[in-house]
Amino acid sequence: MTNVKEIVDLWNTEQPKYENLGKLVNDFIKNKITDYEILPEIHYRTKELLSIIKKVKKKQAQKEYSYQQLNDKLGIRIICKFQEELDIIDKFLKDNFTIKNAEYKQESLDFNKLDYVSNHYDATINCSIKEFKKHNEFENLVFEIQVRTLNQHAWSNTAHSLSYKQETDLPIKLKRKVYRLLSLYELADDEFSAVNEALKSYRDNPIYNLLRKIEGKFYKFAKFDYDRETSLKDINTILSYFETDKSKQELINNIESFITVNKVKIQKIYDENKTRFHEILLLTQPEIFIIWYMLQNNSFTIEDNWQNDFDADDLEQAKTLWGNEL
Amino acid sequence: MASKLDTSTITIERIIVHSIPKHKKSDYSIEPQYSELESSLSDGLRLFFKDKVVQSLQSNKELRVCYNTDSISPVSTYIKQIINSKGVDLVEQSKLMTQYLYKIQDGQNTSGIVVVISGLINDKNTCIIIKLERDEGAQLVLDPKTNSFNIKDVKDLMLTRKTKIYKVGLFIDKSLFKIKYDGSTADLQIDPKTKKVVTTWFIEEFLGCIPLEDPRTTTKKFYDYTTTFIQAIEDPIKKAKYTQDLNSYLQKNSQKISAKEFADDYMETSDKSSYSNYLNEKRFRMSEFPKNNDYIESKIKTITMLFANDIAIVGKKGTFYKNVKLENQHDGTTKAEVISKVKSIR
Repeated sequence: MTNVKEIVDLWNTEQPKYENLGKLVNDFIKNKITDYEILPEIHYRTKELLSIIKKVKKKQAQKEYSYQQLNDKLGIRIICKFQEELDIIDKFLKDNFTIKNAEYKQESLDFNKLDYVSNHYDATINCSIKEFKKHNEFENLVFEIQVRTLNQHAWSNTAHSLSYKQETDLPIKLKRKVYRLLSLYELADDEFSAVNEALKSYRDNPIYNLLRKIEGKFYKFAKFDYDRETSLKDINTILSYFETDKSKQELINNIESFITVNKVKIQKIYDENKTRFHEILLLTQPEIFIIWYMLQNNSFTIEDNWQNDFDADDLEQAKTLWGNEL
Repeated sequence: MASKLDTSTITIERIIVHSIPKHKKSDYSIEPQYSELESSLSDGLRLFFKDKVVQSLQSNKELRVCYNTDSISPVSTYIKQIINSKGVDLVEQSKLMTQYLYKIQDGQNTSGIVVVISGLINDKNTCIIIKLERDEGAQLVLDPKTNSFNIKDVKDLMLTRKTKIYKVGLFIDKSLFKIKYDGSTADLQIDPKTKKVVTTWFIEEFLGCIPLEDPRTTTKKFYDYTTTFIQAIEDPIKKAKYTQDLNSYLQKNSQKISAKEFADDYMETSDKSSYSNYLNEKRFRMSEFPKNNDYIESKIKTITMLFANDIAIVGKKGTFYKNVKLENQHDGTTKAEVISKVKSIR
């Protein structure tokens, strides 16, 4: 029998603890996951008391079950853009948390079955990680991390609104409709991934090519998203400054290694200036890497043309941030 | 292997401000005002002064210098003490520095503010000296509680343009970097009338420094490398123009020159980039250096253009391009036109 009062008392005591843990884990993931050059959405929530009572009751109707066994009293959700990011996040979670159980829903589905697919992890914090060292009080609290793509998330939300469950007994015609819809979400995920991969190596459009190369690096240092429209326009303008395709191609070929070689310097610039991003808007756009590359390798090309399209003070600011060798 | 000094790595840790009144030579009745304590530094102020130092020492402005062992200036001793004490001795040593500046400053020098910084560059200790000239009426007020100036007031003066960074010197312990120079200086004085005197005065008299390399050698290297680069240009008209330009540039009334300025003033963008790459290969810097034409005087007097048919045109550099009209022909030859009276034939 469910002892509701006991659950209420327990949850009233534990909820603030889970809330603090949620904030800690949420901030940690937001801050660290960009090191893997992706920028997924991250949310957390502690379960509503009513949901806890209902879930325990429901489970108890099927088997022996207690409040303590509930692993999603705190839930973290990570929503990524592309399927290939699921593997990156999987590695990130295994590197930084203690994973008690991992469930890859896609893997458990037969080839002829369609259903909600995402990765679920039962986890605790790993106190050997620097950021968690001082939080021993949370060491034994298990929480759930759900990782899904935007399309999986869209399907899950829509299915939830329709109160749809795989096992629901529906007329075959209606069931077929749902299956057709679900297959579209899976197809969309595959297609988005294919397009994403193709864009990364799409040499005919240097602007896209360049942006795809620097976007992940930008997330790593800035830890926030940027204005794509501005970037595409700025990169287009800056690339037009090159008089030869050779030096333009050199930039495209070398930009990633330039960022890697200078990663300590770039990180310092971002750390030092985080309180004044609003004053240095160029720092909030990935094209800053292209500007710094050119200041170092094609300084005359950028300095001679910049004023025709942009504010001279912005280039001065970029130069000041980058500094020079004495 | 020598380490690089990268201005983006500068961190300002301690800062102090002193004020020097304008006074006539040998009239020491008005004393400098010293801060007795370091200024407190917010992150915003740290970044503001870092930006100002980096901007002043930008690649085309700074000059590598060494302490001159023959100089009577004691400032290098004070700088070394600040660096070695990791800034602990900043108050005392900066006061001594200011006192020396006051002593050697005469009526020609306007009243000024001395800002001395202790910090890091490439994670190693550095001492940075900023001398600001201030406008009449732009006064700093000593805080009676701390008996010190507030660095925020200096920032405000700079933002209201009542003063500007005027001279900057950044110094390090060269043995830690395995380099041959003790620091880098920049002089943002614009007034050409006083430029020569003041530049020499700040670097030589006050800091007790000399440029890393003899200006005669640097000027010759600049001339030689630039000439070689120009000679490799295929277009004969452009080649003649740049040769003439180099000559004009070296003869203009300016105490400091730089490859960057030469390129900016005379070259097309694509040539500037190749020129910059070429100098980079030769390890010749684009930054400013004091000009001294002693070693190249004879080379910059005339310009000779020799044609494939053995006809040569010899002219005075500086006026050649004006008097010889050159035109590229479709067949790859060049037409040269000289309209003047024949003076002599030898």
